[in-house]
Amino acid sequence: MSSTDPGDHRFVSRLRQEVEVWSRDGDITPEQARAILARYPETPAAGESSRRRQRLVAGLAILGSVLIGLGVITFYAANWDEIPRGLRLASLLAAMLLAYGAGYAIWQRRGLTPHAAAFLLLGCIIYGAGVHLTAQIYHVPVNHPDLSLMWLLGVVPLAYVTRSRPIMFLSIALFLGTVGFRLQDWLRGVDGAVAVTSLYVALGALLYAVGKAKGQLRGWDSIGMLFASLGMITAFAALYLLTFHDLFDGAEAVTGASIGYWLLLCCASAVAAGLVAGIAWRRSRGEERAAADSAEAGAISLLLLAIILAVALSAGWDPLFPIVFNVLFVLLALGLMASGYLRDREGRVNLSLALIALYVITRYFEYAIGSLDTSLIFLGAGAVLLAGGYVLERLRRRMLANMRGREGGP
Amino acid sequence: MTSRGRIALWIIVAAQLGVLIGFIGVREASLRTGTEVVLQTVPVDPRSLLQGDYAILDYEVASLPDWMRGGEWTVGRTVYVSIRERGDVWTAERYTDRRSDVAGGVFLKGRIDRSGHLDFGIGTYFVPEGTGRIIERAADVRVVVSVDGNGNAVIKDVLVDGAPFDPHRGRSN
Repeated sequence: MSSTDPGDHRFVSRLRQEVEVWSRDGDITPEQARAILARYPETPAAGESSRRRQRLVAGLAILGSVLIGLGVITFYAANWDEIPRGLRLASLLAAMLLAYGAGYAIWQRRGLTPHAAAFLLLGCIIYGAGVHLTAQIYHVPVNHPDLSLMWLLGVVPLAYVTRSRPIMFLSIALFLGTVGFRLQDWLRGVDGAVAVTSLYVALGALLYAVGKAKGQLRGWDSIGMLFASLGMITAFAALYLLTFHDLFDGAEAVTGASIGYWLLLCCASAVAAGLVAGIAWRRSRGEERAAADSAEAGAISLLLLAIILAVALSAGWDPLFPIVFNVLFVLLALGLMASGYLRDREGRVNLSLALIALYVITRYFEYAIGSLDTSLIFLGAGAVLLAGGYVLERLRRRMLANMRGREGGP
Repeated sequence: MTSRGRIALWIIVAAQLGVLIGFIGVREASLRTGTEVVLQTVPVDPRSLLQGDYAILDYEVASLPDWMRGGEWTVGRTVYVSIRERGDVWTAERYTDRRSDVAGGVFLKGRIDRSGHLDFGIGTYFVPEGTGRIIERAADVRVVVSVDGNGNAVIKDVLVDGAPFDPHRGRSN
């Protein structure tokens, strides 16, 4: 087969998609999948172009379903009194079934293409709209704790059955949002910002660890990467908030929090630490970059221990904890950079440099305001941005060039 | 797509339909079988992004007695309020955290919210867009509520200055 014929590029691209679906559905074994793909090699340029095209198609399809979902919600919200109650409910259910039916039909014929995933996602959005709009009919407030839970519990199983990244993304976002907004309705006495923010660090670490564990399973690596990425972003975002001393100033001890909160925090932390430690131990037996995994497991365990201590002792320890979390934030950002560099993950290197830049700018403004003249603050900020941006960009380019050099090496 | 995946997909879709229909069923059952009571309110009028216009209803019975403020009475704690008909409206008779204390009579189940009031799940009344002002400007707003045997309440109607809420009154103004 000629690998330069554009027609063949399309065939190979299509074949790769099909083989992925056959392998995921269990129609062929992974060995057979590898053997088929080896017969039709893809040139690097064609592969990259094909991936870019797929990402664009997937992005447009998802955007389309989100826009249609928003249209459905706003249509019913704006015209709810014009449409009779029975017709309102029937049309919502019909729209939901139509979206799922369309997704199912494409999934069955062509596999889980971006369009199939987009229709299934639309079904999930209409289901969520149905929950909230049905609640509206009975005058149940939109912030009722059961509504987001009903939406979440309806979407999570579908995310696992389809293994669709957009639906899994919606599930994780609903999970994090539901916990954040509704935690105080479910668990008594969880009022403090330290308690809620700390729980997010633990949940982010849990998502990251679950993502790593899923990545070990055949056919789950893409979903695992999504979990790990969202977990990492969640944990770092919450940890960033904990670096502000204002959060701890006058913080009340969370000792009055219900046993449910402590169970949630400690269980999430224990499972996260256990999973990353287990993966590090498993890899150490296979001698696969065991040192990096062990260091990662140690760092996550240390962070979670600090989180639990901060929640337990926050009152009266306000000078100490912000210092601890500032140090942890910087160390973990540097650790993320090292981990990205050692594992050839460009995304991690970019994220770590963005985190460091954000940290430096935040601390600069925090300490400069009130102690410097306004003009000096802006002059200093400009200098920090220019010099910092130059140094970080240079560092990033050098690291990525080294990584690409290693990939292309013998 | 495997046959197992196909079946699982439709089971989940059926479960989602079941959740929606079950939700409707529970609310309809409360509306049809519950005890009808009239509660006195004080309204305000914001807007919901997801659900259009609505009026927030603040009930007289939702104010906690002084001895329940602070201490162990934290946000999220469940409180039962036994209510009794006095004249045209039902008023609070007793506040307790034990259901057995109010069993036998008509009672509301609520949770302490962040503002220190009780949330009975009937704090919102959805109205057609642009008509929330009718409730906001009214001198007297009462809510007809159906309360089931577990203290769960569902709004049946809103009485604005003694008459059932009529959105067309606001539109013609």
